Amino acid sequence: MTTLTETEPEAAPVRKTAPGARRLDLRRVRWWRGGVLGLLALYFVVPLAACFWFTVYDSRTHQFSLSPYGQIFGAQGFTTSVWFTVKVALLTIVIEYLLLIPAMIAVQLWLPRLRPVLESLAMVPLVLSPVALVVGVNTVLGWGTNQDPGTPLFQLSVDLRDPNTPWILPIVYVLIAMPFAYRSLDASMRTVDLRTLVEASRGLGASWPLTVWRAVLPNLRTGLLSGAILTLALVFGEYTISSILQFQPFSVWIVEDSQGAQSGQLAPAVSLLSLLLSWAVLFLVSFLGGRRAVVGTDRSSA
Amino acid sequence: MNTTAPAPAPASDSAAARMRGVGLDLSGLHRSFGATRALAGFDLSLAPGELVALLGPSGCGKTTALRIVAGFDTPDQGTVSLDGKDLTRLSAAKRDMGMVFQSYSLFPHLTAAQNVGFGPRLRRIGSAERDRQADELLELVGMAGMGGRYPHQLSGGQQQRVALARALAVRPKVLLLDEPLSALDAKVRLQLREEIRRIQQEFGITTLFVTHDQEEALSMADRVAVMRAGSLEQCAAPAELYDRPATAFVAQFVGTMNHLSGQIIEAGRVRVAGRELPVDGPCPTVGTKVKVLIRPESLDLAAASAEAGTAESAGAGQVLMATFLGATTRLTVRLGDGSEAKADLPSHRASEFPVGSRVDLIPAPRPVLAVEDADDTAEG
Repeated sequence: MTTLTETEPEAAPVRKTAPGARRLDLRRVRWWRGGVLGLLALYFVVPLAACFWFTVYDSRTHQFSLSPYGQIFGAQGFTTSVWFTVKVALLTIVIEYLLLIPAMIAVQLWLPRLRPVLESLAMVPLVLSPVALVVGVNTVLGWGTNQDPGTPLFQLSVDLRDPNTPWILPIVYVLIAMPFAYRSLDASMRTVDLRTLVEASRGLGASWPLTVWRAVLPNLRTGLLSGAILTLALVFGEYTISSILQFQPFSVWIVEDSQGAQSGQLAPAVSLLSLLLSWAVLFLVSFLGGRRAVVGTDRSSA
Repeated sequence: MNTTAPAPAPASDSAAARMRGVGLDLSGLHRSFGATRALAGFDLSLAPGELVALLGPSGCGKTTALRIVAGFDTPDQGTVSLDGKDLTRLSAAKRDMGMVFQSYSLFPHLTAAQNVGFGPRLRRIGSAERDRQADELLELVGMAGMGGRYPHQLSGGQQQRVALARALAVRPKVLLLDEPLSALDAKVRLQLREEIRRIQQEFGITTLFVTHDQEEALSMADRVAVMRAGSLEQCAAPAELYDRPATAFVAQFVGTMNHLSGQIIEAGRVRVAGRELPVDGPCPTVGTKVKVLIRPESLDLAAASAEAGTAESAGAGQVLMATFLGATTRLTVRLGDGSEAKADLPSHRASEFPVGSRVDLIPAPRPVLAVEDADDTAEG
């Protein structure tokens, strides 16, 4: 078999560090820049430090103790509320992506003129007050439950609010998380030549579902991950809607139940721990995203 | 058909041995995008194992035709058939065609070997066999040992080699090449086009190749199909296309062409530059002023015969510029009517006519194309 005799010598060098990554040289940071950064750091650090101080310092005994953190996992209702929230968050993410991914791919490939429309629709929830939203939802559900028992509308309204299968929460959360998920996915989609990827995959014999699964989604991984994490954080922190709809996810548990624990230190300890956990996850996503940019989608060397 | 040195016989179990070309027919293809007509009754047939280049200016419909063959677009009218089987409405995923795109199309999240194995994996070929095939094809395209690299770790030329291996891995009935070399630098382009041609001949795979680069088309293809405004102007072997263009458009589009003023003096004969030449193809009526199309290599020069103060011959002019091209030099001559003509002479002869010297044009005594002079028609 004939083989090509040589390859052109200008093979792209293997990049080992992310483009643009520079070591921070503290000597070059001017005093005023340092001042601005310091103020910003104080803005974030002081409340957190105060919160941490409150959780570990007992003003009556004047002793330090990490015991509130030890009590978290054994606190009544903690596991149930966390598990409930995780289920709602996962459902929210799944519904959100089932709606967004096909719509965004379709707009990008066949209906680019609808892109501004989709973008505007996805951004609407940013200007929608959660209170207004939940009052509307509550009114509609109430109207459903006022129907004759046994009618489909009555049953649907009841099922949607069933504490064991709280479908109404992910449905509403999809709306309020839409801007974040859309932005994350859109940013990812702009870094790939979606049409060529799709056509290459289809031309090689992949069906549409396989094309999306094997050729498109792996290249949107960073956006998918970022959108999912933002949605998770939003669902974990959301209080108004779940409280008015009388569910008890994590945020409602912190406010309503954990307050009853000894000396009131448990609630801020839980808040602090969940905040640190969220940050850790976000850093992890950011780190993976950075690596992804180098390993997968950077074509500048071509 | 172009010929190259015979390739070594492929091993019986090699990828090449498993592929043979089939005939491809495009018949009466029409395609419009709004008010823009991309294809207007386009017909083309490819014999099994043949490489046909679709050549034409931007917007002539060549990429639309290729996308319709690939199944990425559907014609408004017309059919695409493979070995007599109508594929027009068949999904791209079921056509068994391999395509190499103009833009780098490797899947960024997969290594070179995984990219090559993408198609076979869809066909449920086991991983061991997939790896063996990927190694074999990567070696074929000169990428042995680079299967573990990601696309961003490869140069543009290397990415296109992997894309070619990936297209061949699905044992396509037809190979479609959509300007695969246009993003590469000149040296790599030259090297890769020879290698694509060699692999295509070794595999005997029917290939449709879209390009706007006439040199690429003429050097690689068995036949070149010149397109204009959505339809086929001429499809012929490169030498025939160059020497005997069927239309004035093909004559002007392929290679460099002089347009010398002339007049039909009798049926099938034209007077140009003081000489009478036979007209090839349709001939305007006697007495019509025409533009005579002559290649630069079909023009010779001689030192001016007219002495100072006497009337110049119709082909007399003055050398304006000399462009050294290596073995030949292109001399640009301004004629008495203000028009310019280009003549390619061997460099040692061209030195006899320095810039500013007076010369006579001497067309080679071959049949020429003559088209009605648009300016003259407009005036008249």
